[in-house]
Parts: sequence; C-alpha cells; structure tokens
Amino acid sequence: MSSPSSQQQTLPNSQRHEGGKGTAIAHHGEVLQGVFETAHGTLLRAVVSLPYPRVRSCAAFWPSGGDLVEVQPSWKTKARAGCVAALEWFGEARGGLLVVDSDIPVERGLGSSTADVVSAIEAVAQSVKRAISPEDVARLAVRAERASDGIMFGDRAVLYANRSGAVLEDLGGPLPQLEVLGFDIGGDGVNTLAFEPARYLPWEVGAFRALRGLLRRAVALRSAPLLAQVATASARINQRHLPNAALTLVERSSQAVGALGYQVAHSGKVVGLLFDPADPHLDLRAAQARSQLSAAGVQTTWRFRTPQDGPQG
Amino acid sequence: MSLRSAYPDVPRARELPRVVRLEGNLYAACFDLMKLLPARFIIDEAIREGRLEPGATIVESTSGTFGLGLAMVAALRGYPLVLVSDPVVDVGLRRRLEDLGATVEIVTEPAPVGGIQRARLDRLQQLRERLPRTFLPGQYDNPLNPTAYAAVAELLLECLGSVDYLVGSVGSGGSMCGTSSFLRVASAQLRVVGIDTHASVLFGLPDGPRLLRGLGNSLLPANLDHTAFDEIHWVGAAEAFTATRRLHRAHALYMGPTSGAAWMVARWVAAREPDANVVVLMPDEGHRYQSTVGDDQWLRARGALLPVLPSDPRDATSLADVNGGWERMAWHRRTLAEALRS
Repeated sequence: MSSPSSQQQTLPNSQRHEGGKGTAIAHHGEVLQGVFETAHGTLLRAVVSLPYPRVRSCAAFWPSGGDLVEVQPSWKTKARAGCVAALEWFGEARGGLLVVDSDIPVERGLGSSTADVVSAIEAVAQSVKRAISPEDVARLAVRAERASDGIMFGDRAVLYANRSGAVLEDLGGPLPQLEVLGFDIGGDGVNTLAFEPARYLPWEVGAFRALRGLLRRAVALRSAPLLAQVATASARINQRHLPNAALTLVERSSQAVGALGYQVAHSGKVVGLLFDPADPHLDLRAAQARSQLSAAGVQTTWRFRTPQDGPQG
Repeated sequence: MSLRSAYPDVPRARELPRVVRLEGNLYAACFDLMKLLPARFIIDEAIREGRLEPGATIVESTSGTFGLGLAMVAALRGYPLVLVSDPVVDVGLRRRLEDLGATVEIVTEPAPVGGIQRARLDRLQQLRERLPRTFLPGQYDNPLNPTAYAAVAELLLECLGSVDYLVGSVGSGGSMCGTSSFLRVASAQLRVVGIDTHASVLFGLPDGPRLLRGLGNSLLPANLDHTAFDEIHWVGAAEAFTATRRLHRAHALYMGPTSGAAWMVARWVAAREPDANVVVLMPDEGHRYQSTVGDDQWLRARGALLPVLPSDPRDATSLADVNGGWERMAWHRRTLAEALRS
C-alpha cells in the first residue's frame, strides 16, 4: 500500500497537536452478499451493506509526543489498529490517546468493529487536518481488521469487496429508502472472521450476477420493492452456506403481513423485515409483524428507516 | 455508473445481446452469435480453474455456431482447436473456422449403430486418446453452458426489472434453462415457453429428418431441464422461415430462422398477455442463411414459403397429437418421463 499520492502542505507544528473526532454508523447486515466478477474477469467476495444510522461509534483522538497509541476502552483493539494504520498512512510518527464511544451492540453482525475502526481513522484524519477519501478509509480498515463492512461510503451505494477493501462497483446513488423492522435471533455472539468463507457453486455465482443487474435498477429507480427482492434472494441463496435459524419465521411473517421481503446479517444475528416507506398501511403491517414475531418468541424488535440522503443525517 | 469503457476483447464485446422493445410488452434480446457466450465462459472458467492448461488442445463435436464461438475464443486465448463435424457443415462456416485456425475434421462414414452422430463421438474419443492433453467444452452436458447465461439474466433484470415470460428455441437447453433459472431468482412469476420442431426428441417426439436447423435435437442433452418449461411450441420449417422474413420486414431485424420461430411464438404470447413483460431470445444473425432462408426460390422449392403466417397455434392435447405446422402444448414444468406417461 502506498501513502497518499497528493501530499498536502504540512501545517505548522502548533496546529497539529489538536484532537480530532470521527463518527461512523452501524449497518443492519447486508442487502447482497456473494462473489462477483471484477472488471478484469476475476472473482471477489463483496457485499452491499444496509445502513443502520440509529446507532453509531464516535471516536476522539489526541496526539501525544510519544509513539504509543492508547485506546479506551482498552479492549477496542481493532479501533486502535485503525488508528495506528491511519497515523502511518498520514506519515505521522506519533502516538496518542484514542477514546471510542459506541452504542452499537457487538458481535451481532451490526458492523460494530468496522464502525470503531472507521471513526478512529476519521478522528486521526481530523487531528492532522487532512482529508481522506472513503476508498482510502476502506483500505485502511481492511488493513486494521482484515474484513470490514462497507459503511464508509456515506450515501453512495457500493458493491464493496470486504476482504480487500476495493469498491467493485459504485452503483451511482444512494440505496432506495426502506422501512426496516429488525430483530435479533438470539444465540451466541459472532466474530466475523471466524466465519469460514462460503464456497459458492458456479450457479450461485451466476445468481449473484443476476441480482447485481437488479440492484443497479433498484438504485437507479429508487425502488424499495426491487431492493427488497435483491435482499430476499441474497438471504435465500446464502442460507445453504451461512444458515440463519430464523429464516423460515421471517419468510412466513413477510408473506403474512405483506412486507416487501427481508434481509439478514449474513455473518450475524440480526434480520429485518422490509417495507416500503410510502406504503399507506405501513404501521398496520409492522404491528401485525410485531405480534407474529412476539407469538414466535421474539419479544424485542426495532423499527428504523434507512437514510435518504446520507446516513449521517 | 454510466461511464462506458472499451471491451477487453471481441468475444466480450459481442457475447451479450441488445435488448430491443419490438412492440408494447414484447422485448427481444438480439444476439450476433449467442453461442459465443457459453464458448467464452466455458473456456475462461477452465483457464481460471486450471482445467485448461497451456498447450492443451480443445476438441468438440459440432457443426454449428458453438464451434464458431469456440474458434473465436480459442484463437484469442492461444489454444489449438479440433472440431469434429459431419459433411453437412456449410462452406462459409467451415471457411471461417479454418480462417480462425481451427482444424475441421469431417466424418463421412456413419457408425454401424448410432449413425453419423455416433461416428462423430467415436472420432472425438479417438482424438482424446491420441492427443496428450485435451479439453472438451461439452456444450450438451457441461453445466457451465447454462451458467454462462447469468450474464443475460443480469442484463434483462437491469433493463426490465422483472420478466413475466421468456420465449425461445431449445437446442442444447443452455440458453433457455440457464437464463430462466437466473431470472427466477428474482422473478418467481416467470413463465418459460420453449420452442422445438417436429422430428426432434427434445420434448418427446420421435426422431427424424429436419429441414429447420439450430433448434431441436436427435439426442437428449443433459443440459435440458424439462422442469423449467411451462409451455412448449413445435414450429415447422415453413412457419419458421416465413416468420424470419416477416421479422426482417417488420423490425429490420435480420436474424436466423430460430429467431423467426421464436418471434412468431413470442408475438402470440405478448398479444394474449398484454400486461406481461415478454422477452424473446434471438440467437443469431441472418447472414449465414442468405442463400437459403433469404432466397425465395430456395424456399419455394421446398414448399417452405407460406403466403400467410398462421396467427395462432393449434392446441395439441397429447404428444401423439403433435404432427406439423405450429402446435402448442401446456408442459406444466414436468419431467420428460412425466410428459411421456400422460
């Protein structure tokens, strides 16, 4: 990896010791996860994440004279790794104090560690008064945590190769807005890296290719129904590889209440029923779904709308 | 993103169809040479997975456009290609194949049992034993043939969002079974209408000589999944050829006879289902057929130029009832064995 190609003018030392802050949102799993062809004809694992702006990670970084980076709380080692990678990237041979404050539940597939890493990188960037592109944040995030989620692109919907940090395709706009009724299927926490990457069959790679075409249309037309079709199909294809214990329940409930479909955190524990925000019967459907899920033993659900113009809003 | 960039090579540039709205709810996916897509995909996948090593010879039994697709890709990827063909391979095609560097082996003597098809397969087997390393693309039984058509489903879903009817001719089963399986990932409502011709065994008729080539088959390919189909139409040579000429006149679409047959059936489907998105696959261009389908005298000499194109198929109630012209039967996604029992 090279350092930034356009080195900015170095600022006087006095201004370079100020602290910086960064924020990153969670995601609610994916609308698409699979293996996709690159422009060079090779195949890469990639995802399209569903933004979950209700919860987020906030980081602050204060540079110090020493060369050690201390992180609080101390167990946020991936955030610390992101901070170190960013300092190296900016050519700053220094340490400092990184404080991370996040309300994203951990090990549920909500991207808590990526959000920590991204907010840490952005805090470092602000502290050294330098801009960093989402593509570079993504590369640093992969360096820090090996596999990261695509939440650093703001309102740009991208097909993100989460193990190399590359953008396979910029879909040219934000994802269409969705209303999501989410819940956690319970069970032990998950470590994304512990997942054995799925070994997809050639037909499944073909199915992902077809879904990529539908996703482009969903984004171009801002169509919630088409996006939900993509998410539902992706969840079904991946069920063979990353089985989700609640898939049958979600499928049944989605059909019964007339949801557009559903989505899952492919390497996690959250799932979401998807609704059209413009649906006049939205509240009724969501209430019916809640009581159905409750009857099946799911007591805690949450409802949110994905952002229309940028997840930070 | 809308930025267009240069294609990396000619097969990549030409393997996908153009999607054209012919009328109201009827869309055509028009290929230059459809078989280029599975040929390119099968070879590139084999190279990527290390199954096709440098120095190996690609061998296949074909006298049709799959051979042309293979010849184009083999020439560009640097592999020798031997095609085993029977004497009916047309002169123009053979010249193109040899121009591209392919070796065309003509088998003239039918085998005592199994005829010329068997003799071709025997010759293929000899080649595989004689040459040190060979790769057999195997369009009839290689599952990567239907898999290649994911790219067509991607294009159709991007252009149309959903497809209600897919109409097209069946030969190896690759294009129709492949495209429909990927469309159904997103369009569960999809109905698939396959087109065969009389004296083809694909959907349960007895084998026999056929004037209409490019669809139908004397053998049953493993890539044909009968359970993909909701409805089958059998189209005779005269109907297909006449429709091919009408297609040219009506839409300036100069295509081969399998496209003509598919268009005739797809128009009928689209008129009956005005609220449905109907897509018809058109497999190749008309240039190869200039001196046959494109020639009135050639057509008249074979009684294959109809004054009027039929507007509707005849409904066949059973396979025994299928015997000529343009006929239709509900297939209900049955296996061939199920259809033969009823």
